[in-house]
Amino acid sequence: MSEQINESDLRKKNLKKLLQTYYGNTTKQTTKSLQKEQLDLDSGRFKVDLYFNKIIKENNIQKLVNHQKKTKKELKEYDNSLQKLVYQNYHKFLSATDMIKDMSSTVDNMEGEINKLTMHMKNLEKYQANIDNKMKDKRTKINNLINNHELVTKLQFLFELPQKMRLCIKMGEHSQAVNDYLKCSDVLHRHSNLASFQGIISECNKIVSEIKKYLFGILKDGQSKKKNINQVVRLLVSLDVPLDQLTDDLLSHKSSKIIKVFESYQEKEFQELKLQLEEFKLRNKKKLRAQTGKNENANENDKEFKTEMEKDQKENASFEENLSNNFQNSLSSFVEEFIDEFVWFSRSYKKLFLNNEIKEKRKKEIKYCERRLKSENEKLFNQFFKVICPILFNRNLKLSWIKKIIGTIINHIEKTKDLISDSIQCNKIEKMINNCLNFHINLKFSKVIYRFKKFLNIKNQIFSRKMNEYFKKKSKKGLIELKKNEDKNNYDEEKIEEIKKESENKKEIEKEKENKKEAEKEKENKKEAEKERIKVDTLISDTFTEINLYIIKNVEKLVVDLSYLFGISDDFSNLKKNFLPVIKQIRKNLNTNFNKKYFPILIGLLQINIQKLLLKINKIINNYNIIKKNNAKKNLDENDSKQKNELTNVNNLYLDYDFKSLNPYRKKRMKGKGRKDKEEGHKTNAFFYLVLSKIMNSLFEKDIIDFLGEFSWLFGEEGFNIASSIGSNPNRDHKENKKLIHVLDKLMKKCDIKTVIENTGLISISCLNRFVFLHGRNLSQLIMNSIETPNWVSVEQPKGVRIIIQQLFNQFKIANKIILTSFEKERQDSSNNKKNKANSETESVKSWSSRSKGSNIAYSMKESNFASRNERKDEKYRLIENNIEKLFSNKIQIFENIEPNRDSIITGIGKVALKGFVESVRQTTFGTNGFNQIQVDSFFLRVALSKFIERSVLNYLSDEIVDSASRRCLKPAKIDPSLVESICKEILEKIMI
Amino acid sequence: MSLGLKFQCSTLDSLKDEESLKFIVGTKSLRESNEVHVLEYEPESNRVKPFSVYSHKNEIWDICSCPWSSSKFFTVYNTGTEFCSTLWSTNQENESENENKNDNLNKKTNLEKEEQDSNEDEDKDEDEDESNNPNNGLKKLYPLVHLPTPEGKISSVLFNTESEIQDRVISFDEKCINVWSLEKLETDKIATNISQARVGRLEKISSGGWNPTDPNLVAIAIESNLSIWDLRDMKKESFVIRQAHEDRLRTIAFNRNSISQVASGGDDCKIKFWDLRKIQRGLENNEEPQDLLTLTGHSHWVWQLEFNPIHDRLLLSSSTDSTVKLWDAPSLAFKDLRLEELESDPDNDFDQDQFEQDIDEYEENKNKKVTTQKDGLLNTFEDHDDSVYSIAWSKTEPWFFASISYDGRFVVNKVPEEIKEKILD
Repeated sequence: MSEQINESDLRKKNLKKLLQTYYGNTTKQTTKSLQKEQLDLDSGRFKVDLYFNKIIKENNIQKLVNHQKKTKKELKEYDNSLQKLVYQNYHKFLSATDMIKDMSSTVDNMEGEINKLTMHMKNLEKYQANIDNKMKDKRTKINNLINNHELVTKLQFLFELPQKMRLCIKMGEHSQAVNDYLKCSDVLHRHSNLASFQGIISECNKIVSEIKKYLFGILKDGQSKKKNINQVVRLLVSLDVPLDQLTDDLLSHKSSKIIKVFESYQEKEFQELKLQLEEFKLRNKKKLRAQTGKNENANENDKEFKTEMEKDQKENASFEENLSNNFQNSLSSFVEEFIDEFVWFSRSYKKLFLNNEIKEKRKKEIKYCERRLKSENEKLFNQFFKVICPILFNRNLKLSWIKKIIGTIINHIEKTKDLISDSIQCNKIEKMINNCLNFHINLKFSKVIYRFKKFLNIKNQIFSRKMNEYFKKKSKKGLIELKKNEDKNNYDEEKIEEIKKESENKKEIEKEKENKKEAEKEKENKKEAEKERIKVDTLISDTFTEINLYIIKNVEKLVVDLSYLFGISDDFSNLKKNFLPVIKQIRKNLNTNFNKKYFPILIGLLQINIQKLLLKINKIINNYNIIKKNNAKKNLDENDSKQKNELTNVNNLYLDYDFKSLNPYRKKRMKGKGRKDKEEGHKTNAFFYLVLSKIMNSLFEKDIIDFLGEFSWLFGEEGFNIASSIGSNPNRDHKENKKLIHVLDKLMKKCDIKTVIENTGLISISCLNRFVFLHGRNLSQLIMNSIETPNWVSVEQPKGVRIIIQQLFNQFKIANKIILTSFEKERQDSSNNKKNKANSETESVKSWSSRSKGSNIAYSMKESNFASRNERKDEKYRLIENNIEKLFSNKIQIFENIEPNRDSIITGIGKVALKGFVESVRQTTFGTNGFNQIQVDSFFLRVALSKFIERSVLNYLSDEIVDSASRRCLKPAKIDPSLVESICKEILEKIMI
Repeated sequence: MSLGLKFQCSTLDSLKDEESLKFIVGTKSLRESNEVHVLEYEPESNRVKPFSVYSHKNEIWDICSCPWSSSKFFTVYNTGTEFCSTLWSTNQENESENENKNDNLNKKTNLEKEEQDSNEDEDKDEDEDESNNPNNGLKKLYPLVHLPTPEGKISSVLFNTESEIQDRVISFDEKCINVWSLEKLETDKIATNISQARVGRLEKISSGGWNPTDPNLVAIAIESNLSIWDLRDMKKESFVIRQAHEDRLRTIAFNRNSISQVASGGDDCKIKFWDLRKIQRGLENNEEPQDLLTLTGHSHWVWQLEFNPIHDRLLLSSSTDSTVKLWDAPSLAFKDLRLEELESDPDNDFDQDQFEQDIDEYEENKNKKVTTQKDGLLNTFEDHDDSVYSIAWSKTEPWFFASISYDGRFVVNKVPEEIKEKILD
């Protein structure tokens, strides 16, 4: 316990110490500051004792002495300065007292002088008042005199007024005369009771009427200047001329002037323009003729035509430029003049007549004036339209020119916007422009259709000619051969009769021989026919590609033109109304003209292209809608509903069209008796997708997307239609589309432009995929049919590649050609691909035989395997081996996404086709010969298709074909590869050439 | 789980077995002697075990197990010159029983003799017996009934799985639909032809299906057309869906739970669902037939379709693009139809509690219906490297299914658990 107490005490002590140190410090500090103050000589708290003690304590004697000296000095200085101060102040004090003494003495004198001054001032005032009184009378007299003088002068002016006015008129300054008159007229009228005044008034009136006459004369004279007329009119108005008469005169004057402008233009420049246009037209016709001629005689006079054409083209180009420049210049100057006149006219009119001052005065008259102005304006505009319409509605104008012209017109009219607040004129102009545009769009369409027609006619003619020739040849050949056969038969019969007599046994042998011969001939015939068919195929493909290219070009042009037009102005309310009939017309034309054509592919393609056209048109209409939306956000709701209605109308129309136009074609396809028709139907279908995808792709990639980019969402919509109709049975297209429209209406609201652009890309890809799949399927069907029909067990030994397989190759060739037209440039790794291609081509051309040797090795390897297997007689191991092989080889996807380039597309087709081959082989049973045939075929395909299809894929699939065939073979015995090679050699060489 | 068979195969079926998951596979090897494998799958160990192997002389193109007995099955096979079809039994007792049933007791002893006389195959069978059995230890199959096929090649034989007509079998060949009776035998082991339907001269049947709920209804595929026949009137088809697919039709599957629902698959890589009653009615009114649903996803021919026997919203498809795909079509499933009926006439239920319960259930289901997924692809199984020619749901445990590809790989798969849960909810 005690220990604890001690501890607590210690703690307290420590705390106290700490506190003391802390607070003690502060007290010291304060005392220190105090001490400092007490020690400072200058401070108020200085304490002598402390200072003294401190100094004595701190310093030794010497220092103290020094300190004393210092202080002494300082003290002395202080004393001196004190004395000085005292003396100076004393002086000042003395002078001040002197001054005060002087002041008091002078003030006493001041008072008397001031009193004197006031006295004098009073006297002055008195004198002045006296003078004023004396002068008053005279002053009033003078004033009267002055007034009288003024009156007299005024009277003089009045009496001299008529003379002055006459003088002014003589001098030609009517305005001054009128001004003078106006100044006086009030006075004159006021005092008209007086006789003398009356005379003046009558005289003045005479003169004024003269002036009026003169002024009206000026008005009626057409040649006076604008400023003058303004003045004249102003004067006339101030002279209180009845306004109606004035306006009549003025307006007639104006209109006569403007009409003169019109007339001058009509007479001179526009006639020239018309002439030029006609020339242009003629030239175009020539050009067309030359082109058609060229097409027809392409082979004969190529060079001459080319040079001529080039010349023509150059001339035409320069001519066109001149013409367009002339056109623009004259038209724009015309419009400018007209509008300047008009603007000036209406402006001045307003200034003059519709002033507020005048308005208050003559309300009735002004109303009349306004009416007059309106009517006159209308007249003028009507005339303007009369003049300008025949020019704008000229058939030979180009759209680009029209765009410029309309642009200038619109520019000019914008100047007048403040003036032509009357909506009548605005509407009229807009209507005019709309009509013009409609007219030209109609024209353009009809032109395009006309071009289509012509083009197709030419194509058809050429085609039909060629076909006819071909058929004639064929038939002739056939006839000749038939005749020959008949002759021989007759001959043979004779022989046979002879032989009959000789022996019966021989006869049978002969017959057999004959049969064999005939069979051979038939085969030859077949071969020839096959060749012809190939020719026809190439022909078809050529025409296909041409038509495709042509149509794509045209459509693109048209779209560019149209979009060009739509870029100009904002309001085309009539356009939409007019558009439907246009489309209907197109439809009619198409239905009447093309359904009769005998070649269904052309129709199909054309219809497809027109569909595309419609699609694009649709899109443009919608572009326009969107523009309108942007412009008029206020009326959004109303517009929206209207637009939607219209949209659906267009859509329905399109669908209607689609359905009707394609139906007969479909029926044909459905009714088609042979497989051929069906195939052709499929073919067009497939290529339709190709073309579509191409267009989509071009939209996706090219510049068109730049200006259509924002609007492509609608195209995307159509794309949806297509994409989904792709998946549906043709019979059910219509219903589905209707459903789709419903869905798409919803989509449209949500759709965002970017995603839609992406969608176009996606659609193009899906179209491509579809194309590849369809075409591949068509080809695989070809193969399947060829495999399913014959009895492969009892087939003869292979003598060559089967014709169907050759045809397959040709199909690939054609497809390749067509694909090349649309997808010429490979996008990615083009250089690599090209290199590869080049390599492969050189390889295939130069050393296909050597390569086939390479494959020989593979074959012989397999051969040895075969042999050993046959020896071992257990296929179980083979399967296992095969599986192991497959494990190490990459799994080949039959159908991957296709890239938009030739290689990918055609390998895609090849994959699908050959996979079909494999599958159909797996379902049939082969004899040895049949197996060998397949061997030959697959070898042929492997070499021939190496141009098109990726090597690894091709090898894999052709191996698979042979392998599965060998499994399905009753007695698999491979032919020697060299034999296979020799069998294929001829055909392969032909192909390579 | 997969197993590699030594031979090529193109067909399999599941066996009716109450205890284990068994599948039957026929090999297809042209030059070798073929085998019928019965494979057993053990879900616990996830293993496929060969249960037993039987020798079968000729290559097997199609196999169809009897829905009532695990020991009987049909095979369609190619002798090299012609296609035949035979009902086999794995044990002799069954055979005798069967014949007892058939009231052919006396002929039992004569059977084998007559077999020797009448059948070409029989000699070969004997050869097989002599050569293969001792060597490979393969079991023997006992032929029960032959289907005489004088013309054309048989493509498939079908039992009617749901109906009680157990003695009827339908076979399809290129030209005809044949209905056979297994009980009344013409001569020994030769089935009697009850009725026959013939298609047009240029037409060719590629496959067919038999409606399990309405055994008078048969659908066959002719090129791209789907043709419907009524077995009571075999002179002419009752109606045809023209251009049902863009290309050749490969397979037809009837939905067991729905009276008139059919799925078809073809070379255009699509799977389509049809309501036959609706179409028939539509055709009478000259309407164009329209499919209920189209599923796309395969990149090559669709070779076989199978509805799940219990959950009919699940559809399995096999394709030559070497995939097996599992599809879900809840919008077409049977359950929904039943619910709609419930909605339409709830007055029939007099029991208040029952009624309320039903309504509650219905409400629940309705909510679920909203939340259930849309029709479409559920899963793709890429176990195979070559074309998958055949698939089958297990008859004992319908969450499992087997598939076989050209290279002889046999794979058993399961419906993924998540999907299973969703469906069971």
